[in-house]
Amino acid sequence: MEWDFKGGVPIYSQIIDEMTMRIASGAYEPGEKLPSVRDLAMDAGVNPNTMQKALAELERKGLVFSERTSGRFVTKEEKVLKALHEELARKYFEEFADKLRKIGMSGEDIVGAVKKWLEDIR
Amino acid sequence: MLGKLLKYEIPAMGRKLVPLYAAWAATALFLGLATQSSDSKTEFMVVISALLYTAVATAIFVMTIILIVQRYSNSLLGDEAYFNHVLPVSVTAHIGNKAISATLWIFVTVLVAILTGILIAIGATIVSSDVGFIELIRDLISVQIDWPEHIGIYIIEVLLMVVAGVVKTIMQIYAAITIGHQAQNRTTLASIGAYIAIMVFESTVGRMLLPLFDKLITFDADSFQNFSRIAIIAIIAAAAFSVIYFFICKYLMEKRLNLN
Amino acid sequence: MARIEINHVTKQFGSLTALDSVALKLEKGQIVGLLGPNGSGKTTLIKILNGLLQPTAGNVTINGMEPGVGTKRVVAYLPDRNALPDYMTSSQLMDIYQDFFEDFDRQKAEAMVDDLGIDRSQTMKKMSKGTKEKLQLCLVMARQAEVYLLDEPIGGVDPATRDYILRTIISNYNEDAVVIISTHLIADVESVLDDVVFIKEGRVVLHKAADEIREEKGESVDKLFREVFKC
Repeated sequence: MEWDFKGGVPIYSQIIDEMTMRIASGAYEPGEKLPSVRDLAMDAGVNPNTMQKALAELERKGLVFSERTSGRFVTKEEKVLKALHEELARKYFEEFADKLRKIGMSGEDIVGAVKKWLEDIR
Repeated sequence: MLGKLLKYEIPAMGRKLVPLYAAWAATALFLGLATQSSDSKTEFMVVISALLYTAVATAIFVMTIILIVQRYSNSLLGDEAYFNHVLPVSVTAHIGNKAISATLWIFVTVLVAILTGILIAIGATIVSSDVGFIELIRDLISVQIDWPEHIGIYIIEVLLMVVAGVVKTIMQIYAAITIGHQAQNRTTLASIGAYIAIMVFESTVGRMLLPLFDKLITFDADSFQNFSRIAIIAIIAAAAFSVIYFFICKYLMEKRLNLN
Repeated sequence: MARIEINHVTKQFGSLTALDSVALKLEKGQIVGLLGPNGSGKTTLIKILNGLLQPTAGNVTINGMEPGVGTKRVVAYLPDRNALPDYMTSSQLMDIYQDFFEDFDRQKAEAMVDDLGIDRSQTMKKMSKGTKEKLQLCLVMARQAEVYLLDEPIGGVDPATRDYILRTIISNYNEDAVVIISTHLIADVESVLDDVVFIKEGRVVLHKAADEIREEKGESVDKLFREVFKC
């Protein structure tokens, strides 16, 4: 997995996005132990403090939890993971719908187009 | 820390001098061997080898002076100063290190000079049938010498005087370089100027001290006492000048160092 | 007491003012970018922190001490030039570091030298300019120092080495150390920085967290740098 940072957005929020995506996609499985802050920071080429800050935020959101001695783990709670999926799906739908509206498609048009596209790729 | 500095400084000077010593020893031996045949055809060999011997001796003399200047200015005021001055080592240890190494190599050079004399003798006698080198040494040892009284003290005093003089000369050079470096540009010129100023300072102080000699050297004392008095004054004077130059270097390097 | 305190430091070379009343406090546990174009005073400031230059006015302290033997024990400095005796091999230079710096980790240095493909038995004289820089950096980064002063650590190296160097800096990071990286190549280092200090014509014009700049201005540190230092 490659890290790629854009200018103009705080790095720590980009890390949160990337880590969230990794958890949602199963790249990090539920209950899996995460690499150490230092290793993650080295892998991403970012400041360890920034990585630490991002992980703390993920913890606050309940996506990861830490055990005092053994490190950080991806949450095992189905509820949290389900909510994460819904949140991400909603976010992508919004981006997607936004673009389609810009080219003049209505809600119905979009539903129709999605159905057609699904049939086409089948 | 001084010991650790010396561990690197002594070989750093040695790597330039030792090959020259080897060359010098070789030319000495060659010169000795060349003197063996008195054939007029081989006479020019003597001249050539004598020239070689002198050339290497001059090279060593020049190299020693260059090394004293360069090892100090480059290590403590030049590019390598960016490394040496960030070592957790006091300025005193740095200056001491340079002065001790330089003094040591000067005396090694003197010893090697004596050795080359012996080598000439060996070369001159090793294959000749009438006197061998071993016999020569045996004869020399068997000669009864009437050593003057207090010869041991004489020798120690002379040695101390020489050491003090050498150290003083080294510290003079260091002080001149350090003062010269204070000028942000044309540091070489400034160093030469500083060296001249130091010489003037020293001779002025010397002239002021002359009356003291007159008082100490009395005609009722015997020559041995007179010699000892002069030697002790000379040693103290050289030591005092060395200390003054040392503190100049130390002050400038601790408080006024500006590497550019 | 901050790890590094720079108290209104002014440095003049003749009529030229290289630093003009620079005041900075740098706490431990961060990686700070000292950013400015060539000739802005970055190197002068770093040399003053090392005691290689004396300020015309003001003073600097590291752990409360002015530069001296006490600070030199805990400061690891990468100068802007080759300062090591060039007739020595990497191995011999490691000996020197080991002799003089208690915090030098020989195994780490050897591992880094090997990683970067530097021949341990080659003398420095025979190395390329880039290799010399890499070797100096290995020696400096193999120390467990409290302060790292790195003057243009990525100036003359290829991108792969640059990544390796930045990873080394990150892996060396610890809560007790402060790392100062002076550079004009902002884009390459900005993701590893906590704080950035912009220095322009001898003055500090900005001292801020890198992420704050991105958040507030909505642009990268590199972009802001280009604006501030526009010719």
